[in-house]
Amino acid sequence: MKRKDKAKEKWFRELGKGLSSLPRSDRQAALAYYEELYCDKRDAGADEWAVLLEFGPPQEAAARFLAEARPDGEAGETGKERAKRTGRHPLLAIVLFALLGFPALLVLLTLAAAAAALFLSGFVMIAAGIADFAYFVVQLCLYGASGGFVAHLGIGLAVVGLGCLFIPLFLFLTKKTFAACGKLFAGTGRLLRGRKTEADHA
Amino acid sequence: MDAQLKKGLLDVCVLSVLRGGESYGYKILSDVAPYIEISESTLYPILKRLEASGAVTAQSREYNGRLRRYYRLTDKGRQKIAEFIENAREFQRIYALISDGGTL
Repeated sequence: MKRKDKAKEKWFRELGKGLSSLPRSDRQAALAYYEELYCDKRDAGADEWAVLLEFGPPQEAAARFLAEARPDGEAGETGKERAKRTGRHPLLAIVLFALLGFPALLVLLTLAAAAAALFLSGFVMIAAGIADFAYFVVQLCLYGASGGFVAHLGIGLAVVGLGCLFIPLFLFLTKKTFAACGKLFAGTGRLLRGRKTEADHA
Repeated sequence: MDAQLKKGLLDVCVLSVLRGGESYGYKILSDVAPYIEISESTLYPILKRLEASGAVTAQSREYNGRLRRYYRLTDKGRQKIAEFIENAREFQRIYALISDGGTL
């Protein structure tokens, strides 16, 4: 990918993050608007770097966009006015945090701990297999060959092999678990902050 | 310029450049910019507002392998321009009063 394309992709990704408070459909429409302007300016002969510079830093562009898109009268409204308009109350936020936020935090921490344990378990299996193998090699040297000792050598090697096989699967599951934690965290945050859903805007 | 006054003026400026036929974001910006300060972030809510009020209609069409949103003036939009011109005449009389004590 060309550097210009990468810069453009990064700019739009950052703009999308800056507009994350908007419902998905509004955010996509806003991104499509900027994308169209970008392409039209480029097709009119403007340098692609210059277009991005003209748009300004994506965070600032997003902030300007949100400020301009704010309905009349919303600017400077008090907490009470906002609570009246949105039907939300600070007390409701506290109750929501107690009922939703705190349990969600516990679930997140548990999931994260499980993911970390899963990540380590493959390596622990390999270490245990090697330890078992080494221990029974020593036993064989000290006490001579025995069926049980030889069997343990095989078991040790099998555990090492299983550990090697499971590591990619465990890494995949760890990644998915952390991704799920992230989505749960973001979703709970949106719910607690009382951001409007698409249904509110429909 | 007062923000509310500018907002009202920008709405009519955008409607006015659409009198010549349908247009799109970049062209509207280019047509309006020589007359009044306007930015990308300013134009978008104006277009959304005008579309919601029925003053313009919007349609996405393919152009050069990508989508471009075209805006077209409606009868309601023309009526808004006419109303603004009428209000501006009244404003001129008030301006005359403010600036030199009135000539009527």
